Amino acid sequence: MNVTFNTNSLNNKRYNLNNQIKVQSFTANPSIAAAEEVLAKASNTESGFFKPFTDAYNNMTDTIADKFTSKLVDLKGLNWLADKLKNSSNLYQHCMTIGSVITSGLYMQRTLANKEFDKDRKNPLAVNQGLTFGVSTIGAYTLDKYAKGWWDNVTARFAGHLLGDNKFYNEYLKQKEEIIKENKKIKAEARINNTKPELKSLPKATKLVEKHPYYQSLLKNSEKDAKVLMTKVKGMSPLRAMIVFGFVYRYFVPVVVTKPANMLCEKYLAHKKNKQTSNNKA
Amino acid sequence: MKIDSIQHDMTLKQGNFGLRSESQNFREKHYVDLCENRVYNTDYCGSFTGKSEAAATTIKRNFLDKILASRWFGSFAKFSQEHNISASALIALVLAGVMRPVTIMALPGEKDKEDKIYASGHAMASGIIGFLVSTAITSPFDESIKKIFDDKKFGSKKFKEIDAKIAQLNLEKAAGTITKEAKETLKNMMKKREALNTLIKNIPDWIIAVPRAILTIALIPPILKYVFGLEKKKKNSTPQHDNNTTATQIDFIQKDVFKQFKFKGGVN
Repeated sequence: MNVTFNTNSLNNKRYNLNNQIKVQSFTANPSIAAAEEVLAKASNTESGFFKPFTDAYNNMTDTIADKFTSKLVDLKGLNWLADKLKNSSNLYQHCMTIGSVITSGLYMQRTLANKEFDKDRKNPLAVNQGLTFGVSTIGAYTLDKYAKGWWDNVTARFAGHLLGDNKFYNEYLKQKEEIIKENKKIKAEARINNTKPELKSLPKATKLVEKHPYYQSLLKNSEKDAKVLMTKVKGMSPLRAMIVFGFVYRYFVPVVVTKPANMLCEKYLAHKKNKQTSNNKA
Repeated sequence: MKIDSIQHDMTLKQGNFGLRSESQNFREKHYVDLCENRVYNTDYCGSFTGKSEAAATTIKRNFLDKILASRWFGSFAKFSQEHNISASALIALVLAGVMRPVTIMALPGEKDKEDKIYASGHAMASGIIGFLVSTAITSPFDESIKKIFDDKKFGSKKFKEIDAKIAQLNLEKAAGTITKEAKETLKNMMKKREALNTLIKNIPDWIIAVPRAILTIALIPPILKYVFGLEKKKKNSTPQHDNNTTATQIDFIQKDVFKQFKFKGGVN
């Protein structure tokens, strides 16, 4: 190993000649290299204490993969659904929405099925629950759509960090800007010609990472590390949806929406009661 | 390995821009053959121009970059991709278990302080149970999905054939011998595989939604009582006014029939 570092900007020929500065150098000591190797090995091996647990967990997940998940992957219905939804850019968001439809539906069903509950109250309350869910879901999708543009930039920035390339982000922005400009032109032309515009798709950080020389080098030298890097970049997309939907469902709705919704519900019930009383009097 | 004359500009133009999230050894190991193309951030300018706007931009950039370059963020992004349900429950835990109680307690209204404390405890307990249940149930399943889709250790013959076809088309694409039709086929196959992966990872959430909700409802009162030391007092005459959807907002919830079942809307 031979490493030579010149770590300041004064390292120019003129300065060196005038000051007879020595060029820094480092020749690796074989014992240090050996120690580094041992440390690297040690960091990759599992602790003896946890080994029985990790082995048992691995065996369990192997069995699940072999006996259950691999069969689930082959299900015709699931494959049909994947084929139909493969072009959806919001597939993960739809999955989350289905999950909350099930939960909210359960609560609504329980409200409606409750025999000991006033009929006058349970219908509006179930509608209130349903409306709150519907409005917040629309809100979550809208917020997610608006956050996407900014989050894509953040993803490119994050990818730049992973690749150790701070030009990556600027290049991404440049490409994005160019495509946005082109799309504007296409839209304007389509408006004049009264045709449907064929817009170009915006650059994706994952696609740019795939073409990056550092990623290509990783693929050649260590496929596992390349996969980890790509998983991190891909993880940014579900992370956005999780934050947006989580914020709407778990924070905004309980804190901000529920109180006014319940107040409206109470007002409606009071109004209905008053109306009934006046009708009865008449 | 041989690295020569790496120039570090130490003037004010040079910002110490800690971009790397992996160790230097890791990068050196895998980036050896790219030394001539490698960017050492020497073009990052600290913008000491005297302009406050530029300085503000630099500070802003540094804060976001610090988060993005941190190891925990990288790990969390990976966790989000591999464990959709668990990561979602973790975010819900932060929002419902930390942010919601803080907001509830910060809202004005001295009268219903007790209700606020109860609602906060309820939100925290619900977040914790949701995360623990989701993680315990879905983690082994997520791991098995990873072993099929990423590690390619398992999978049926049919699935392995599709993978082999994708690999072959990818090779053709890399070699530049791929036809237009084959390129389209490859694109569709990759998209379908990705969609299948997303669906398989998230379908358990639909299956566990109902039992998890029932379990959460059943476990919240004892957790509130024994962990947080909170117990809801019976208030038959006065209606509840609370900021939490899940517990005491609606007065009918105090009826006996609803004591075993509380309302909530949303993901979990």
